[in-house]
Amino acid sequence: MVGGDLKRSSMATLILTVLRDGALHGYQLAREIERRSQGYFECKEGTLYPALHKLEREGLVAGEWQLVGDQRRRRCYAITPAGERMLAASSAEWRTFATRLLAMIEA
Amino acid sequence: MDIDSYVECVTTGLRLPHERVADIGEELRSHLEDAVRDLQLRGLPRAESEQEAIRRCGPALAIATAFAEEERPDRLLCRGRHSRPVLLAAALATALLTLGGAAVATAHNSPPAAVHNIPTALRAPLQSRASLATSRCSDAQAHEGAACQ
Repeated sequence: MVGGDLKRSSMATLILTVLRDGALHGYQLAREIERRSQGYFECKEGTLYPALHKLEREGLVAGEWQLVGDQRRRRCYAITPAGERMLAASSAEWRTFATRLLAMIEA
Repeated sequence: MDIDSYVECVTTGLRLPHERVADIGEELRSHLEDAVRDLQLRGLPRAESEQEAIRRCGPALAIATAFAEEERPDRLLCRGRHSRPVLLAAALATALLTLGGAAVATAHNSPPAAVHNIPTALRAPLQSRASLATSRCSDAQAHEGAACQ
């Protein structure tokens, strides 16, 4: 059975993939990952934030506070050019991984 | 557990600059408010919406641990504002006892257990501070079960 480790290691790629189509705040990001994966990559939503902050520190996403009404703020995240490059590289790596693994399984 | 307690449970043990901890708390609270609003729009009452939003967010201490690990691996998560002095005091007492022939190797990871090997004069204040340090979140965990682990 595919464990949580594999899903966890794909978190950065998932986040960057979704943000490639436009900036989102954390709650939207969680919903979008859930929707696009049809629930397969549903995660404990709170764990998105440590991953997002790490990506931001690495310069792969850029976060910006936005006002919601008069009292509340949300932090909105957008992919950076470095994030786009990282996504391209990691997508290629995941494709190779999946292709090689399937070839082994189905041989 | 309500949203305020949950957010406090996540942020209390973070050994990060105050502004960073405040931002993390604000972002998490905002996430929960969005989730609650969504759930209410689907017909769930406010109280149940809060519980569901918190459940979806996951165990508070797991989030805090993930932040501690992502920020800097050597910034260990401590489970309360008073944990660092407790750990330092326990480490000091352990070192003294080790020199005297007593082995208290687990002091760093489990201060409450470690104090059993510490002389009575040191034991009471250590137990008291360790208890202070962990009581708030562990009470919440006991009350909420898996919501804050």
